[in-house]
Amino acid sequence: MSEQELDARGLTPITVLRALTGLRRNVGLYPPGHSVIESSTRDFARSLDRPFQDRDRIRIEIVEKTAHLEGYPYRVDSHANADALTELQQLGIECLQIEREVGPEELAATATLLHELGDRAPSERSLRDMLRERGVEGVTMTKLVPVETRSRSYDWPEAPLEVLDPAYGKSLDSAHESIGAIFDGATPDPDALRSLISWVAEQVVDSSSALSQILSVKRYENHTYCHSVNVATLALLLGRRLGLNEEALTTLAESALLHDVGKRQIPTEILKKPGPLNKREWRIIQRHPVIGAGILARASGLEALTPMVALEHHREYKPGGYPDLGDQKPHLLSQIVAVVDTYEALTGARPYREPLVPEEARLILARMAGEKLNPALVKAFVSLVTFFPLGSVVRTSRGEVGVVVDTSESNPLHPVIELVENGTRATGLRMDLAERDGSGQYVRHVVETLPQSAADLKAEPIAASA
Amino acid sequence: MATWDRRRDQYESFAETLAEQGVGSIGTRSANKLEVLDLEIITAERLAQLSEERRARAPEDQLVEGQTVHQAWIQVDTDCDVASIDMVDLAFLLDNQGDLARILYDIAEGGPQSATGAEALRESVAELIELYGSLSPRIAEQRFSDLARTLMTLDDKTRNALTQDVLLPDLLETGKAARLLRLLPEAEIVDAVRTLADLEVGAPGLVKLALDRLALAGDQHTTVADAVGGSIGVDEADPGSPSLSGDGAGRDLEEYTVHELSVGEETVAELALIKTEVEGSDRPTERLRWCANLVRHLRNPDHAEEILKQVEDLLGSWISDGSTEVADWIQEFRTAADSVREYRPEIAELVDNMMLVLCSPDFLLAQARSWADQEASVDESRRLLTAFGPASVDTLIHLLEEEQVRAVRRRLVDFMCENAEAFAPELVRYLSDERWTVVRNVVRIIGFAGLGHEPELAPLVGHPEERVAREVLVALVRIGSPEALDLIAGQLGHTDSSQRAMAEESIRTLPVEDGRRQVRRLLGDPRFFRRYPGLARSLVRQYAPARGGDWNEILRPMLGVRFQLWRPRLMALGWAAAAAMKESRQ
Repeated sequence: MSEQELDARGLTPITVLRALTGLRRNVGLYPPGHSVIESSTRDFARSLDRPFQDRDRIRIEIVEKTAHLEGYPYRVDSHANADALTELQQLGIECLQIEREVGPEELAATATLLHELGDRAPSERSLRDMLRERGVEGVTMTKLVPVETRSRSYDWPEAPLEVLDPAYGKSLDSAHESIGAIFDGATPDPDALRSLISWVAEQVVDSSSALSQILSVKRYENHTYCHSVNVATLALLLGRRLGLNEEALTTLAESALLHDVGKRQIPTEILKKPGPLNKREWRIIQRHPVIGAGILARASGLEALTPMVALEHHREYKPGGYPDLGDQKPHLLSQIVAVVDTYEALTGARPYREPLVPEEARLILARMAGEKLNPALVKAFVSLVTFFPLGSVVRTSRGEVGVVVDTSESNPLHPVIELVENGTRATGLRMDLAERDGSGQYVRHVVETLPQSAADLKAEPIAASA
Repeated sequence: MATWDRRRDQYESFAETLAEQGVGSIGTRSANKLEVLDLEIITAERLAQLSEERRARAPEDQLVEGQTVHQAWIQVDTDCDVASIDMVDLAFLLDNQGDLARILYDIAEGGPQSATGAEALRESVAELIELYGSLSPRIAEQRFSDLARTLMTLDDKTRNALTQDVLLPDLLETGKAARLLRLLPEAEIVDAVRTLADLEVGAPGLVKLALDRLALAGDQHTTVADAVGGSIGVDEADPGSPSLSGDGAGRDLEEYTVHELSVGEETVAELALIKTEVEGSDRPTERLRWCANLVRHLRNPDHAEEILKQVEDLLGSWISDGSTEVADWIQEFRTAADSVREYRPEIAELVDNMMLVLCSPDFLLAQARSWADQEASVDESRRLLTAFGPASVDTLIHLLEEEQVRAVRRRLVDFMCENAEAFAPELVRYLSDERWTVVRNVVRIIGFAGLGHEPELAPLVGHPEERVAREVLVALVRIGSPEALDLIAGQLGHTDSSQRAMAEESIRTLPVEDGRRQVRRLLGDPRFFRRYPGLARSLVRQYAPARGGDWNEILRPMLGVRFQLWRPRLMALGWAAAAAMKESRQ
């Protein structure tokens, strides 16, 4: 029922609250049985007549100086009304519940109790108990406590606190300016974006320190300009792995940089909601590819395929995802951006969760390969990223423990290890985990990585044997 | 706000609507309706227990920082002192799991729903496990036991679906469901783990991983392992392998073995193909593709108009260049327009307008002139004009009325007649046009479209403009169906003699083969030949002679009128029938 509908029926929570506080005041001013008290009690009872015509109970809430009836807020449009709310809140009453069977004597008893309390309710006894002691069954007064619908949340910074590579830092600054302007409503500036892309292509993609920072856990909000730069960098990395020519790389980088501009029209409270989204919020989020493509399609000077990637970057390899584009497979550029965007999002922070470590993120990519992501592109991307850094200690499916001494780009999950025996690397005892048996199955695989201490490994520089 | 109110069911944000309306300087923030959960009032005593519980929880589970979203409120007694309650607190405070499940379900749905207990439980069991897992061990154990009991009260189908869709994936991914699964009866655990057996081929080690994560007590482990091992051979797998869940272990990578991520020759070939395809992308074609997709989803007509202008330019240039692909793209955009016509008519109208611009009179005239020169261009024109649909019809009709194009008018009409079936659906609306010349042309074309168009022509039979009326009868003759013939026959009794004459003439001009069949039908009806004996006699003379004995059946009923001397025309029909029968016997 809308506020207007309730108003039309002459019912507002303010009326009820004013009647209650008025009766309370008169109870203090006049002796019991006085006609003024009787008249006030009748006013109070009359204020309840209408709501009880179609319900057995009314509940009025007072939150943040606003009265609500069954959750709908009502304007407090006079000082006298505001005073009534304040008076009850000072007594610790934030929720007033009245049953249909309530009698006038119960209403009077309630007002009398409130009068006797003085300025505030006792901290050692509940008003509910005190009312019941006086025979008041039809009125309940309680406090309201907000329920936080999540168990924990994080307040991540907007950008990394420390940037390892100055060139990467510069690209973030530049993106903050150009992509920030788009988020503020400006039209994309192709020149500024081209300059940023050149910088990323020439200075960032080849920087191992920048890449390690982008590929590792990112403890900052990753729906910002940083996410755009990171996705563009990873897209360029993957594009180069594919051997794309300069023209295709430029298109790829531009589209990766701008793929999320549609989020500028998604309310911040949804983007930054400290908890999983409900269905309605999720559907609003799902509008961002269309919004983004709309923005980019109307901007001049951009690559022809840039809006397409914004539109398709949440489409799936086996047609699915959003927006609904039927059975069409997304363009391969969109598929490339989808892979790196997924990885970047997983290793980035969210208000309601910690970022995933790279291994977990890659595992999720692997799960998505073939269904949601192009499997060949996932393999190419995973092969780009060092899976088991040289020197890491792993345990195989046969129980051997070894140190990774060599990795293969073509088979990143099956490194060459040097076995550890009694806490010492058995130099010369190497085992290639890429070895397969007669049926084509791997003979061994890594089942876990171990901390160096778990292997009780004596420190030894890996370069000596690598 | 009014626009947004209409579109709320399309899950559009108010910010998006504001932006579409050109409002840039008003920001918005959503506020939920204040919702007080319908739960028992929490007493101070219960809150004291909550404080104890909070102390007993692991420290990291008490971490609450950053922004908070209050989606709901609960009632507590006035002597309670608590600033806020989180969902883990609620998991402690609520003994009834159904209440918590419903709250979780409502939160996920974005508002109060009327879900059944089983439905709410099914949708929120993963969150329940998460929340219970955050409670102190003793309380958590109680809650998991209660949850296990509740699960066993569900029907088998629901419970199995829940196990397969939620509990097993959760067990494999996070291991948290283990605390619930291990409290189920042994038979349930065996069933649950057995469902992983099907995946064993593609993902070896899953069953073992599941058993490791379940960490069942000694006897129970043996029983379940025996039961499951018998069917999948779990006992044969590497007995010396260390437990994955051992203390001090690093990240568990067992699942990696499930996924084949090596870059073999096949992948290299696929990647090479990807490179070729990316570099070989035809940008104008791709642009048209994504523009068509975008038009299907855009809500702002101004934005759609800008994008369609780009499409118009591109298609216009393709038309000028004589591209053979242009018809397909025109059809694609028409399909896009039709898909949004019902709920975003303004966007569909923009596409229609674009079609009208592209299918201009000049374009059509150029097409018509080219038909005379090249036979091949007729086919291409047919594809193009059919793709344009209503736009081409509108322009054609417009052109037919233009004096200065009289020379090619005939050619245009002939073209439309040859392709009448394609144009007829769009032409029908012109049958009610005020200009009789338009109506006559349209009737003529529709006549070529054949069967099925009789109802559309029916209102025009006996049209006050004689040239239209005649064209209608010609069209009906061309259609030649029983329905068409009935319409013509209906005109035989017209009070206007010229209309009658036209109808008679039309019937006489029926094509021989079709006509004979239809005439037999007419003459076989005594009401017809008694009412129109003159016409019947001429039809008998025209169709019956030398047609064999199969006409006798039709003619015989006419013999009885040979001696109705008071009706000479009827009598003449009788004698004509007798003569035809005699002739057929010879």
